Order: sequence, then C-alpha cells, then structure tokens
Amino acid sequence: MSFLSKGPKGISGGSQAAKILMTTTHNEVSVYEIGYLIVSAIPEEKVPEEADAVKKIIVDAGATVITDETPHREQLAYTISKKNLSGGYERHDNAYFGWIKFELGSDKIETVKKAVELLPSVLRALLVSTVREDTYLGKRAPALVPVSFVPIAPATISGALTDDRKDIVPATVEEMDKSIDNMVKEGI
Amino acid sequence: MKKQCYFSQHNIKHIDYKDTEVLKKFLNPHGRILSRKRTGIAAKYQRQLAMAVKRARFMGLLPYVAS
Repeated sequence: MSFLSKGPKGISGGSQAAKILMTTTHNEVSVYEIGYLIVSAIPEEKVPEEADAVKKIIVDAGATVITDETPHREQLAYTISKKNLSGGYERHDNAYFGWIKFELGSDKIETVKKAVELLPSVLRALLVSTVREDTYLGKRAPALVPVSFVPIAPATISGALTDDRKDIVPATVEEMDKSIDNMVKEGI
Repeated sequence: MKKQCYFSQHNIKHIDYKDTEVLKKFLNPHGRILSRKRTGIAAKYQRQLAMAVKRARFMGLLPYVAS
C-alpha cells in the first residue's frame, strides 16, 4: 500500500521530446517525508538509536535532511501485526511515531523506502511527497468555530427587554394567581 | 447562510496527515469522513483532507472504523 505520488502523469510515450521529458523528470530533486512507527518492545532509551538508523539510511542515499521529529510513544488506533523472524505474528497496540523531511533525487527514493521498511524495528513506514515549508500545525491548529453561528444581540431577540420596557417589574406569584382567578371569574 | 471553508479561513494551504486533532474535526463518531455539504470545506481541501485521513489511518493514528 503506497500513497507516494509518482510525479507528473499523462506524458505521452513515443515521441523523442516525451522521452527526454521523462528522463529529466525522473532524476529531479524533490522534498519527501517519511513517517515511521518503531515497535513498542524497544526500551524508550534505545528509541533515538533506532531513529538514527532510519536517518542514516536517508543520509547515506545522499539526501539533505530538512526537519525531523524524534519518535514519541503513541497509542495506535487499531492493532497492527508484524511478522517476526520466526514466522509468527506480533501484535502491537502502541508504537513510537517519528518522521523525517528530506530532499532527495527521485531515482533513489524507492531504495530508501524499501531499506527503511526492511529495518526489523520498523513496524510501518509511509513515504509521501511534500513541500519544503512546515505543514505540521501540531498545537498551533486553530479551533473549529461553527461558521454558521452568529451571536445574536439581546435586543433583537423577540420578547427581550428594550430600553422603553426596562421599567416593567416582573409579576410575583401572588399577583399572577390573582389575575388568573379574575380571568376565571370573568369566564374567559 | 453560506458556510466558509475552515482551511481557507485560517490560511492553511497544506493538510498534514500528522495533524490528527484537526482531521478528527471532520470525522463522524464512526471515523468516517464528513461530506463537504456538512462541513462547508472547499473541494480542493476536501480532496487534501481525504488523502490526509487515509494516510493517518494507514499509520494507525486514526481508526478505519471507530465504535
């Protein structure tokens, strides 16, 4: 399962110009981001070492690291299974999630992806094509305000006290009882 | 009254799959993506949102099905 965008589509094959375009776009440098999950069985103090192993693969391929985040423990939304070396399956409900944003030629990206996925401590990895600028909002994310909500001024609510009605005093329970009795007597 | 797009309003140009708190605002209690009819998001951002949610699900940050 891969969500990596493979570059421009719709290049018509056959013509020389198209072939040149395909070879030139094939090696162009792009910004990528790899997100990875490290198995929770690894002790917390050894997680930076595993993160460095992922970073080493990327740097060794000739990439320039732009930004990264060291893995932090995350409760997974569902159980992820991984086949271990003995052939059995390990089930994981927690994992360390980290990511690295880097710049690399598109010809080397597939080898980097496969190398990261093959690391025994990596539970899952996702490679995406992205932009250089920071896209991660984190805690800066603005709160969702219902856009259809417009606060109504108290004066516009029907029945609310307007300036000329402020002197009206609310009726007491006794007064209300008396007025109801009068209405009953009058036969309304 | 015409609803306004959350992402256009806050000048968010790219939707990141790691922003799970933002993505959760556009999911129903079952974890399904809400329609743009409900949320008022522009078509451009609805496409980005769908991609980001699917990436977050793959990484186990969001559920495929929530009970």
